[in-house]
Amino acid sequence: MKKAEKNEKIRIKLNKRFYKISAINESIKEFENVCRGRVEEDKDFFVVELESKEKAIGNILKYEFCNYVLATMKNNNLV
Amino acid sequence: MPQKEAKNIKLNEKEGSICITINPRIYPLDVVYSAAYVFLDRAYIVIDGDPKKEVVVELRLKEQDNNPYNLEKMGNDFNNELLSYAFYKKQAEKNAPVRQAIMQRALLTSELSEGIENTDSIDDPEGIAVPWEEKYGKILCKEDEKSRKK
Repeated sequence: MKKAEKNEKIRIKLNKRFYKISAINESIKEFENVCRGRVEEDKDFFVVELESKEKAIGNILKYEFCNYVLATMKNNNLV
Repeated sequence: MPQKEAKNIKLNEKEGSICITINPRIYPLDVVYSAAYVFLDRAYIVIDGDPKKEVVVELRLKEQDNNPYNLEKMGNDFNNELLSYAFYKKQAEKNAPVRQAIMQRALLTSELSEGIENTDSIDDPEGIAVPWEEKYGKILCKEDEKSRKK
């Protein structure tokens, strides 16, 4: 039987000048079923850390999350 | 037919992605967001750069496909989408006063017609209300007759 793969931790850096924190927080909440997430910020970027709840799903999670944040900003008229 | 890579597109065949550099003085940010939104179903998108100097949009095809032709096509399509939204925005700004005038006219007309309707109708969904004349009219008539007989 295969050992369960360690849940991957993914870090995403989103430029503060283009992405809104409210959209990121909303996206983290929406992705709750799939992963645990938290966001920190440095000078220029929001650094989002996602840890998938199930076995590693690779970079798909990262890309889908970024798309979701963009869609949220557009749908909520934040941009 | 092989597509020519536009000057603002950088191809990364290894990663299967393209980077499109955009001049924010030509295409404002809201136009970039609108164009990016259209591509969300077929590409993974990340926006970076400096909104005052140069915006960089990274697009990665959802279907794993490192075919340079398809990547270039996506880049060219994105450029077209930018132009389309920039034009739409320009037209919307141009037509804004006319649109506002039409809306104001429409709202004013509907307010006037609502005002007229409201003086005649009352909110009575179960039809219980009885007109005053119907309820008290017969009683008044009887009293009038009595006073006349006296």
